[in-house]
Amino acid sequence: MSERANDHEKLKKLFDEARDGSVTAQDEIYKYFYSPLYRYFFMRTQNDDEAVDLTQTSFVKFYANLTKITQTISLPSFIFTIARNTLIDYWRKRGTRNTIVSDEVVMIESENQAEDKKELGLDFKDMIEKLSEEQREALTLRYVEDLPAKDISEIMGKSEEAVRQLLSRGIKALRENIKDYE
Amino acid sequence: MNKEIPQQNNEEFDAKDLQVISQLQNLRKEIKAPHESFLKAMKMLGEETLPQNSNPTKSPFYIPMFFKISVPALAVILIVGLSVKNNLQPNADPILEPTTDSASSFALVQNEVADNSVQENSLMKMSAPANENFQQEDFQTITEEEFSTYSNSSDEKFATYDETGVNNFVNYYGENF
Repeated sequence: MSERANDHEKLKKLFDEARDGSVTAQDEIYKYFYSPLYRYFFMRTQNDDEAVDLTQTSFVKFYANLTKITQTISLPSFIFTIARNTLIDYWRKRGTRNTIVSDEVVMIESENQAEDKKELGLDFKDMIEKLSEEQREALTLRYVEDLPAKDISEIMGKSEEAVRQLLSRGIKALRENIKDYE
Repeated sequence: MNKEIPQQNNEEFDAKDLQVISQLQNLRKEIKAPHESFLKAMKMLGEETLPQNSNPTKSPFYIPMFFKISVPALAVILIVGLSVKNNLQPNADPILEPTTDSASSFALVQNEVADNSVQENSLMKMSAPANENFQQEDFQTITEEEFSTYSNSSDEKFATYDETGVNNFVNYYGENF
């Protein structure tokens, strides 16, 4: 995503073209943001199927509302705001936040699988799971998706200062979790 | 990337912090998204928006709103029509059975129609008898000159027949018949 940060002008152009109805631009946006959105949802739900469904739903909402945007907003902010709202709607409908399925999967996995997870750094994701929802979201958007604090503040509806505090506290909490793990 | 983080967060990061951040960044590579196509998203979008599409040129099965409204209306008209028909039949549903007045009224109307048809035929026969030949002069009215001639005549039968008294003529013949 660091390339994306440097591609601000390219994204702006793509966004404008997509709003004007260019299918090619819409396809480019899809390719560009599919993986980031999937990761965002996977980090929040820890479930592959849910992450896929939510990603597709977010894109559908994005295309449906593409021509309705009147305010000046960056493409990453807009698309992640849609993703965030999609997730909130999903949790609201389901009535709970964390998936039971993912806990069951963790419980039945073998020792070998646990070793694989450790090697892949997947236990680190479990540590992230222990963070608050807001901390996890802010850390994901900032360090996994490389979005600037300004965009994160727009997506989360918070001030940039509040976002920075969330990031700082999130890192400290992660450090504590790692210390416990070690 | 790591150089930007302390500036953006406006904080000092030690080595441990940077290690955590590095692990977070590694998740970007570790979490692999399954392949999904843009077309699938567009198909989903199409399925969601298709029922809202009111453009008749885009759907070969488009039914204009007029017919959508007219079909139920036509059904209602048919039901009402059948109900009225049943009302007029002797074996109609007791709930829908007509009152005696309405049935008798209908019978009267039917009889009147039948009588009128007979009368009409009779009048036609009377007005155009086959064996009578009327000439145009038969229908000529009496001229003013003839009238004055007749009125000034000493003939008894015209004596009382003047311009003002048609009744006199009638009375004359009436008295003399």
